[in-house]
Amino acid sequence: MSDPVEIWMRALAHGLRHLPEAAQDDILAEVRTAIRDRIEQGLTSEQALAGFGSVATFARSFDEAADFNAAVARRQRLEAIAVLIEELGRSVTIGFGLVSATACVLLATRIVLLAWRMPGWLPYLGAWTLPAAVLTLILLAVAARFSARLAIRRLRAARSL
Amino acid sequence: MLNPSPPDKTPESRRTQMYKGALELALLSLLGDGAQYGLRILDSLRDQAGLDLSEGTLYPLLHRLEKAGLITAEWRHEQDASHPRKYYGLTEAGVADLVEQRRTWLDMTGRLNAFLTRGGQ
Repeated sequence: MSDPVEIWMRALAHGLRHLPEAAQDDILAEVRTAIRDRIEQGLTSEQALAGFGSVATFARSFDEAADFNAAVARRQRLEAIAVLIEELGRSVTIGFGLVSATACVLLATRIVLLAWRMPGWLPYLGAWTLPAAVLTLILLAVAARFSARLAIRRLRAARSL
Repeated sequence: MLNPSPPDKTPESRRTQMYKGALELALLSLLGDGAQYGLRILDSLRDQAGLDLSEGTLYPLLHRLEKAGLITAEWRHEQDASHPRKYYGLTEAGVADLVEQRRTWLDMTGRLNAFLTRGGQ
């Protein structure tokens, strides 16, 4: 089992594991056909594989991030956020950013509700409570924004064609 | 004072950067002539358009355009072929996009060429 094509194909299958099974099968079948065509043209296995570059990079380029890049380019933020959520399981940065953003929204909602429904209670919470909450809110917003920008940059760098 | 590292300005890197914008248009234009499979697309773009791209660039691009609904794909086993191949052709949306991209490209390059050669430069 030292056939370089089979080793490469196994690595590609591993790299594509996040895609739907039908898409994986289709890509693998097409790539195998392309390699076969090249070998029939007289290339060696190594030469045929060289055109695909790094197997990890090649596999990543099929990822859903292509949609993400397009969404960001079109400034469709909801679509971009949806892709970020899909990528959540594979990125600590995205996870941190989304947790920060969620906490930010919850805290902001809490402050607004508290001030709106029970304005008389605010003085009893202590003079530091509201400023501390606002400061936390700002820090969470900064963390969420930084994480999102970092994740966007990494996804674009990794998956741009 | 620190200066940023100079960008790669080899002729090859310049061509690569310029090709990126033209690649999708050239691919759609080629498929506008009829359905083709991957290896034939690579050879045609290299021989006819001077775009020497690799499999590593072409197949993800085809995948992206298919997902975008601009091209469609089907497996065919042609009589003279030893095995089935995946053929790509334009969808109606792809045809419309090709018309629009071609118009934009010709307009842009026409103006740019005129600008770059102004005054007989």
